[in-house]
Amino acid sequence: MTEISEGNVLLKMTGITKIFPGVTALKNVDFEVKYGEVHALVGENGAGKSTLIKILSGLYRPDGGEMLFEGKKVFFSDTRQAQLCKIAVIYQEFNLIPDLSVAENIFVGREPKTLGRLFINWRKLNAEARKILDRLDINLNPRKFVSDLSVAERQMAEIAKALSLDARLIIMDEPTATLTEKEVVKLFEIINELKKQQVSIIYISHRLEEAFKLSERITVLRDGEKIGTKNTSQTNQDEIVSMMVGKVVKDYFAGEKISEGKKEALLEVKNYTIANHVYDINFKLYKGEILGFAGVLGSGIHHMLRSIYGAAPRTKGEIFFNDKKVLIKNTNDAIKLGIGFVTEDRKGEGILYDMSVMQNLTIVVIKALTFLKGMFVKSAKEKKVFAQASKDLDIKFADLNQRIIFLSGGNQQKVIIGRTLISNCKVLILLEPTRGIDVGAKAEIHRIMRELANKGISIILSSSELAELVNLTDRCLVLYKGKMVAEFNRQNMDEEALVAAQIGQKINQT
Amino acid sequence: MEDYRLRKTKQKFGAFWGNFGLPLIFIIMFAIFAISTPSFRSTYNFLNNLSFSSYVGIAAIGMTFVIMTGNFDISIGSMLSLVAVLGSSFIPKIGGAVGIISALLIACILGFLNGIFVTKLRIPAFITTLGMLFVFRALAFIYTNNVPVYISDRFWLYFGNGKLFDVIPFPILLMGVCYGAAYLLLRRSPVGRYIIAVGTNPRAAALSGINVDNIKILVFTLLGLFVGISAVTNSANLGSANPGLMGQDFEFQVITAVVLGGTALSGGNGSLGGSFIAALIVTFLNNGMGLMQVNSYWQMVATGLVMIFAVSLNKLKFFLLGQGEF
Repeated sequence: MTEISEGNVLLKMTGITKIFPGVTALKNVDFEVKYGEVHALVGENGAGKSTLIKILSGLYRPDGGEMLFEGKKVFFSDTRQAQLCKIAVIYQEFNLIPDLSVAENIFVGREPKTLGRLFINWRKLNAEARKILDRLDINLNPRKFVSDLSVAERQMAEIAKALSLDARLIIMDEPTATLTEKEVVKLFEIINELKKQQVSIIYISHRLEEAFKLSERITVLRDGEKIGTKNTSQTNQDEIVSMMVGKVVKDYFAGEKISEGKKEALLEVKNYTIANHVYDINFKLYKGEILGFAGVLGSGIHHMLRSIYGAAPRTKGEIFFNDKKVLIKNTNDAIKLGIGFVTEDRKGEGILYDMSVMQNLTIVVIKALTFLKGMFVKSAKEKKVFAQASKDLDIKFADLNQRIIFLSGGNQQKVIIGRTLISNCKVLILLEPTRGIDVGAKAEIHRIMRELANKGISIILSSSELAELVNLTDRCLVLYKGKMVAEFNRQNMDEEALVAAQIGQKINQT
Repeated sequence: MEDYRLRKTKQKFGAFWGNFGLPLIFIIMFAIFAISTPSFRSTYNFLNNLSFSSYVGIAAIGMTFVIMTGNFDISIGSMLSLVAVLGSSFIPKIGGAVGIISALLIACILGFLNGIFVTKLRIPAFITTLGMLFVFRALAFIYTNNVPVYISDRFWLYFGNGKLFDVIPFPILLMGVCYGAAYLLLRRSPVGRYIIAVGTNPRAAALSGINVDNIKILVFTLLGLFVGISAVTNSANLGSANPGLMGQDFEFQVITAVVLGGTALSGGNGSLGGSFIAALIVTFLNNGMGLMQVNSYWQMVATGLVMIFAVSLNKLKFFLLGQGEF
């Protein structure tokens, strides 16, 4: 075994591959972390960051490749084994128990005991917790209940918990997404303190400037492949952004954008406000236009679009459809107007997994495919509608009575898009329509979107994949922390500018 | 490769079990009782049993819908009693036929109330229906002063004792009609689609323009209707409506039947046919044990164990089919 020193490698992953049905999430990825290093992991959504973390934390088993931790070959078949190896993950949603104190959470399951292990030694518990918090100079009362803590304090408690487990490697997934600027500064101090104590950190963030401020090295993933690892001091943001975006992607954006001649507003949103999410948003959607929305976590875009569709409440604001003021109280109102909605959470609220491919597609219009005053479904008519839609969208399936979960992600997505289209849809709201589906299916969905727009359907596209926005949309609006901060048209839209606007940097707009 | 073959075998067995497991259990149980107890195997006993099973069987239709949408209802035993005493007490004033209609109407209202509490007031189904279990039963006692209502109306009595062509008990026929109607509703109508959609993924259903609350209220109301039908046939069979004795352990038997029938308590697609066969199993099991002169407390032990067994069987099926995560 080699001596532990500054330049030595703590974690070495080689040839890691992970395949999901229909998608290769990771292809032959090599990745390493040195002792006491902050290693930033960047890439767009769907690039494979979270899959890599889940393999590291034992949630997923890789389909290929091997891992060396402290020079020893390791294989995690569950999260406990990863913990035993002293790898800790701090997720965006914390794993703390709200009804226990900070100290109890730090030592949960390992509380110091007294009187023959019968009772918890509270004094020792709190003192030990205090010691760990002091080690990182965190000013937090260990007796406080987690439910009373702010998000930033919870995060500190998580970090303290990781340290108490003697973690050698801490993985932080978007740690600053929900923090205020002051809290971010404090977090950075803690990270620097951890670094001094030879704890390694994998730092995942959409905010590139943070990666540059903190890390020694940056690794870029894209479409499940490792694009490269750079020493932070020898690179710059432009280079990393272009690595993240890639030039090849442009090839599969089929179809031409239509000319901006006619400007007929189909949907207009005025003074839209949802408390704690978005504030005073105004925009117009023109006929046959693809309007993009860009923003990182916390931008409020999804919440706003969901609310426009009638699936979430709003505080204030008006919607005009064809110049007429409309009130959308529920999703049914929106569907009747001709607004379709495709969720970003396909598994959680898109597919009806106990139902067949056909039933999944026809659920929205089933009432119209009936006889005897809507009593019974006209089977032949339903099959016809399905056949037409599946042909238009090129949905691949073995049998129309097959359950939808047996379809690939891309085909599931097409079914869900088809569901909205067959109900005479004029406005289509798409949230992350290509998340988690493979490159081929992605190109097809892009082609479908362009065709629909050319047919006169207006599309709202919210995507965290910037290449998608730049290449597909006619205009793109950027939201940052619930406020609209920029609007781009085709002339001035490029990925670097979008990245900058998304993370709240002021840009010079002409 | 080995792993793949094993998985395939498991899946095949799981699918076989899903389709034929329940009838197989019924046939085996039937055979055991038929061999060991001569009085069990008479046609008379068979038809009688089938007739008895209609009480659980008909209510199980409504319960299947409710459980499919991720809820359940433990107030139905008390509901059965309240509906029976109310409906039968109206007979002298309005006659048997109108009495039955009003009983069914009351049953629908009680079910509707449960649905409103669960959806609009967001009270968990367990709490709502546990509360109603006491309310309904107590109201039945208060209304009758704990004196059974005797039924002499011939129309009403026909529902429990009538025989078609002097052979087939009327409740069996009624159960057949109910299952036929329920099948059409669930598998052939848009509303059935909505019920399945709400059960399998309520969030996706809501985004598809379905009013999830209304569907849930509807299934609670339907359950009320089916419990109402059971209340009429059951009281007709007994010739009286006893506020304390009617519908005891009823909710328990019905839920057992639905779960044994293959509908998951977590919601999702259900099986009407499964509920039907399971209702037969629950009834025939009790009758068979009764004829074998098994102590009635031991019968309760057996039914209780069947309930637990039923849930584990479903888990086994989903495990074999590799759907454990859902």
